[in-house]
Amino acid sequence: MKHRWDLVVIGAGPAGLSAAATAGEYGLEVMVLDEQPSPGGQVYRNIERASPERIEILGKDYLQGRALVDQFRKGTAEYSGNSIVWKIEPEGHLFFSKNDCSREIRSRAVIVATGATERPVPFQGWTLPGVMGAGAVDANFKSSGTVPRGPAVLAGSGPLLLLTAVHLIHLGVHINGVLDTTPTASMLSAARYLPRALKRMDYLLKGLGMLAVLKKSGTTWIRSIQGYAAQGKDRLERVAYRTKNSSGSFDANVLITHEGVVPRFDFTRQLRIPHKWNPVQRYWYPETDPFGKTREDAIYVSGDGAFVHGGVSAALKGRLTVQDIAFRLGAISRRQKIEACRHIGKRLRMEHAVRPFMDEMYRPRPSLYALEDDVLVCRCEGVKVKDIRNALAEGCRDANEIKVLTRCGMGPCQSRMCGMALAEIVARHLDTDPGQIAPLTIRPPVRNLSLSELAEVRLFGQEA
Amino acid sequence: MFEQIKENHKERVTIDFEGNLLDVPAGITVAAAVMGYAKQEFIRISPSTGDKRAPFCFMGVCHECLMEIDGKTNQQACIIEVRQGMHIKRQMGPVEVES
Repeated sequence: MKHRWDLVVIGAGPAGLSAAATAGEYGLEVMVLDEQPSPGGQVYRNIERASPERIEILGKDYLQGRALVDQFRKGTAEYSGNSIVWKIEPEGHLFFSKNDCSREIRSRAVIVATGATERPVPFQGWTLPGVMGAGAVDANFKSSGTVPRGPAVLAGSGPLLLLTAVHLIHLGVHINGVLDTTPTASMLSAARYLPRALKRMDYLLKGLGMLAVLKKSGTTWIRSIQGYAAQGKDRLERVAYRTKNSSGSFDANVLITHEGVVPRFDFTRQLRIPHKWNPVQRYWYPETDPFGKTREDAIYVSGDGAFVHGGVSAALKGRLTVQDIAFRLGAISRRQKIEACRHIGKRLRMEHAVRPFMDEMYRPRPSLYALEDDVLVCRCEGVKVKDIRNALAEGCRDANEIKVLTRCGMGPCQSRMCGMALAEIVARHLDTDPGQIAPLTIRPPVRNLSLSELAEVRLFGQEA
Repeated sequence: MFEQIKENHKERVTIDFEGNLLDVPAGITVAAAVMGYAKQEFIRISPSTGDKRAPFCFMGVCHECLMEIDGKTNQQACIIEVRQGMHIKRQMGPVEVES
């Protein structure tokens, strides 16, 4: 592998693939570092090897990823799978691990296109085997063609929960119940964004189509759920739920939860780039200019990692980001850049018409982090809500301080599962929102690395 | 916990899960093989709490899938694909670190 590149893209989802393909067309030397074995990201995961049986279930939304991957493969950009980046330096120096060997490469520009992840929300019993995210079901099906054995219970809120239910119904997995936590109030407050959303009837019809499948299947669907819990001894056996006036439970082999998606900020945090707080969808996103450039000239963020708009938008954003990079590196003229941006901007505006409606409709419910004392927050280190509250009662105000005291966020996942919940619990205690408090510090190596591999890292210019 | 949908798998590999040989499709993840073919209900015992765990995210985030693969501990089974002759073991609690 070469040591020096014009552009290194991290992640091969829609944003990364379109950015890399476009930059290649402009004559830039591009390397894509991807943690998966093949391109596609989460939304188009494993698309090159998908069987007809998988495509039949996943439909044309999934299949459109093939054109994106084909275009990328036909171009000049190079692809390196199973490549786990663990440090980025602001000048565009990157360290990554592949086949248990780490090395440094350098690039004139870097695009962080690491996308979004499901918002991890702790609840009673969420560590029991049999409890998983909707994204887990999706990833497993796309990568391995395996489906959970029923009966399943689905819980949470958002279009991906609905989509998972539809896939399971088509796969013949029995669903004992869908526990929809979307508050009625959200549906009402979202109504004001409906006129704009009507520009994208295709999206709205897709949603209605999913609801129709659910209805036709006779699946039990309970709305206005205020909380749910997983119960069982060594594995999930039952899911309990409550609404304002009632409570109940369902037997379940698997509980599939979904509470929305949030940008992955590992690298932008590691780079100490300032982040903003999205008060509607409750997540941090990196501060960038309209092209995705951060305060570090060499570092860009694109796709859902910059702000969650979905896969189609991510592909457009990838192309937009490259316009600025290609112009700065002298690969295109100012006129070419302006022309391309006008075209992409128009399509992005069209794509975003439905977002305010969706974001308001599926905003995290107010009770999402109103957690009982004995709920486990940090899965890795076994830290409970009460441990965090004890630290708060002792006068700790800083999430990093609480981390040191309780070990919350110090396990193998490095706070990916509990960091947000910790911030929400602290913010709630201080009667503010997480945007007002200092989040957990993320330091390199951003991913787990053996000490021997770290010791033997091949620095820039060093040969094996 | 999981089962395979009906598909035509041309290529298959044999893996060793805790002494049992399993014939699985090539290209699937180790976690999928363990949950879908070895028919396991859990993938590890948490070294901190001592309870049984299984993958929550299946996409490299939660680290609940850490397994011993070909003698190396703490490998992420959900992002590693099965290989012919691979040896897979669960980690029942804390693991020893080589000196």
